[in-house]
Amino acid sequence: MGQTREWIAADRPFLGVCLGLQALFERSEEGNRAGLGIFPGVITRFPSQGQLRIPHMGWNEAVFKEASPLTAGLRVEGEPFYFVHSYRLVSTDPSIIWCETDYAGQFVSGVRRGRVMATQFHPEKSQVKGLQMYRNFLTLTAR
Amino acid sequence: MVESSRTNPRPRVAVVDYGMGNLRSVTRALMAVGADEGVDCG
Repeated sequence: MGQTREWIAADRPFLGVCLGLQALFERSEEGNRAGLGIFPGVITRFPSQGQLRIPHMGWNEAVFKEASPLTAGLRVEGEPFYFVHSYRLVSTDPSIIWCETDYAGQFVSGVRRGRVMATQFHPEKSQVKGLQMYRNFLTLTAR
Repeated sequence: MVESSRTNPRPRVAVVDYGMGNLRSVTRALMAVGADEGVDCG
């Protein structure tokens, strides 16, 4: 954890996936250990309600806040990605929100600031659009 | 985590294992889109 924090502090490119997003925040209901605290916010479990299935597993849409080089080749208004998780980020600094997804209400499915970015979904399991996201990340960070 | 150089345009990527994921699928995906074949897992 310490090396990851130093890496990010040095403004080196970082892409977190799934738990890799959650670890960037202050803490999680899932465990007692503190997160990296790179961003403000707490990771909480999806609420048990009605027919809601937990974990949230399968394809769901991520809606991006704005077009950017990171969304090249992706539809900003919504693109399906593959999710597997029971905990999620609901509230954080609005300026770091990259995209959001609806599952029992809106949650933050991607964050970014500078050369640090992270997704709750799995680009590597999201076929062509997921690969496009990895391609965008490598293109940006290779500059 | 990514580093690149002018002599090697293919970025070198370190995939960090936090014990919960499938690193192989991440590594394969990154290599498919241009990461260095020396993708590190650890």
